[in-house]
Amino acid sequence: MKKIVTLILLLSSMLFAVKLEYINSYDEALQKAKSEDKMLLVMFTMKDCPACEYMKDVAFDSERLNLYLSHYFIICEIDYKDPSSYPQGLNPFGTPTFYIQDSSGNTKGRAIVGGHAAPVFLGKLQEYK
Amino acid sequence: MFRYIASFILATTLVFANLFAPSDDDFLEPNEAFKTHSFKEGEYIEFEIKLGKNIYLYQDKLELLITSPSKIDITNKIKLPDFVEYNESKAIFDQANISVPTSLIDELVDSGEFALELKFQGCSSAGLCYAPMSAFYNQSASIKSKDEIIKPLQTIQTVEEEPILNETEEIASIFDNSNIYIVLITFFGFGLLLSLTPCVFPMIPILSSILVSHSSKKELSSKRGFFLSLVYVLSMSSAYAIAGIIAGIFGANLQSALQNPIVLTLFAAVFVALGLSMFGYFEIRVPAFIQNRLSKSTEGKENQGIVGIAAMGFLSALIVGPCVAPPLAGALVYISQTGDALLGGLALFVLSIGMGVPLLLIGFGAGKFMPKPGGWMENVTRFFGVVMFGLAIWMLDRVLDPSITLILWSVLFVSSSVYLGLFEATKEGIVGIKKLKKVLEIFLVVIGISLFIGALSGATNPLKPFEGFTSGAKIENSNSLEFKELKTLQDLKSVVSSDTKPIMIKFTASWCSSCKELENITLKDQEVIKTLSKYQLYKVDISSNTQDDKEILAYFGLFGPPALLFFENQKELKSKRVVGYKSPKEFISNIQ
Repeated sequence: MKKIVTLILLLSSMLFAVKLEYINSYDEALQKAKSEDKMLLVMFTMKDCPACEYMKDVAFDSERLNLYLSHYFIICEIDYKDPSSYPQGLNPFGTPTFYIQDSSGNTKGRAIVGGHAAPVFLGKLQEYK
Repeated sequence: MFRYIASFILATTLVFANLFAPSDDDFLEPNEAFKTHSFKEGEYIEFEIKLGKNIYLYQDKLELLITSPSKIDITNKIKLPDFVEYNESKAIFDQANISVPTSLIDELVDSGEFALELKFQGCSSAGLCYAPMSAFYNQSASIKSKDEIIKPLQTIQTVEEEPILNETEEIASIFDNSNIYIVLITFFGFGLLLSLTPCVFPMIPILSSILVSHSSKKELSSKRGFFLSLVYVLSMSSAYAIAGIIAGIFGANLQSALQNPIVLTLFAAVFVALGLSMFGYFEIRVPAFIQNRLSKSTEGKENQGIVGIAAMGFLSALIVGPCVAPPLAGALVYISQTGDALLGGLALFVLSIGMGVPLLLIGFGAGKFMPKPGGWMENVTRFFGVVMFGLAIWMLDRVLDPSITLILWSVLFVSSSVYLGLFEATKEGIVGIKKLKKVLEIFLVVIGISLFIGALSGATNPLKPFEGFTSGAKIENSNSLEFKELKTLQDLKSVVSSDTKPIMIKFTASWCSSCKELENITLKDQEVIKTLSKYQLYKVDISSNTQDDKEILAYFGLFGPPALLFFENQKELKSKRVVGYKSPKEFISNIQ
């Protein structure tokens, strides 16, 4: 019985958490997006950026957005202060800035600039689906 | 069912699409956000940076350098502009003026030619940070005039250290990688448990008839019998795998839909109904006319070889489906949470393989391996009934007050104990499993009573029901901090302008996880409650993201909840502003 209870507890605990993975290499993220047939969310962040922290720690932690991102996107986090790591054609003017790309690396629509509350950001992402 | 869910998802999507139209144009371009001007006036070289609306500079990011003829950092030798505390930073709003005495330059530079560079970095409080930028001043011996340019320091290369995972992240990462195996093993275990319920019984005669028809042609070896059963079980599993894949594909959207209180309540009701059915209060079955049709379509397939057996296995899943519906529904909810179609398919596949183990044993021709049917099968079914009730409470946890949920858990534990036979007299000298069962009954009732007492004492955490007694202070209930609701910016302004004592305004939303953390952990902490006793408390609920909500957020330069704003003497104390979750300790140090 103890094992069963443990299993149930384990199962219950897993129901809550979806840990988002942030990949720092664009090539690696694109490869993963291709293999999993997901879209790519390229996010530019930097240190001392409260909006970046808000997006990662608060907005992306919101259940709906968290699940939407984990289900449809591979997240690639690029350091804004390291232009050598910028994917070709992406030129943000601040952080956080988000670009949505398909699994072939084609940028879709306009960039999402700045921090947003979870449902606002989710609404913007849903426009790309 | 899926049609309704799909409609709901579509409606939700459209509502979101319309409510939250893009507003990226709200952010100023760097040259609008920071308008720089450098010039010489009298004995000073002046740098002036006019900041756009909601734009602020970090004082500690200001850096002043003589770049020519040699590089000298003179930041510490000049007076930097005054700052205000903002989001734990030293921020400069509106305008920054930096004066560099020419006497200082003369001390450090021999010739009359020099160049200055002022580095700065800032953000918009509406949620954007800009690249580090520079303003320049060049003075040549011949042309002593002002000269300025501004450009982003895109050429600056910052050396970032490799991200180092902390211990927790490493453990989490390992767990993530092994997650799929744990899930699959768990599902296989659940399948085995399901195989011990009477649900599998209807399949035994079907499989037996297949085996008999094959043995009538030639002698059926154990190997052949096992193979035939395997075909049957695998095709049954395929049917379940398809259900799992569908749940996985629609997973993320299902989960989104699940967050609605009405949907959560409905699902909880379904789980309660399923739980009751597991306890035999009523039976869920496929309508007779469908079941007859299915039975007819499987008749006569005994002789059609492997394909026929596979078809029967697939159809059997439909026959057995309603019987195992309650646990299956639980499994599907879990899969929909993961939003992973592959995992969904695999999980239900191994679940039904687990369910098919007895059938494989039958096929192997070894009826002796089969446990004997008996009353214990009812107990396994009831166990799943309890799991169903647990899932219903878990669903309601997101809708109900935590103390009510705690009472529901206590009812579940106590009634489970009673159902197991708590009040049934025990015979003297009982040993083994029966004794263990009695221990379990007592254990469950003790947990249940503890939770009930905990709930009455105001505790909300099922793992700490006696918090109210052990912390040495009476736990206040969630109403101990009462927030009056503000709907519009006008309401908010009039409250602030007529304040008689300090005000705290909480920005919150039902969809915001960090708000719940702030609410249930920080704002329920005794020290925090004590600290806030001198404040008038108001809240702005932006769950619906109405035009009024957007207006208030924009006015305060907030980009979302949770946020706590403090006002005194009709002015916001920006240094005290709290954005995101803060632990009680951080919160108190922030506002003191």
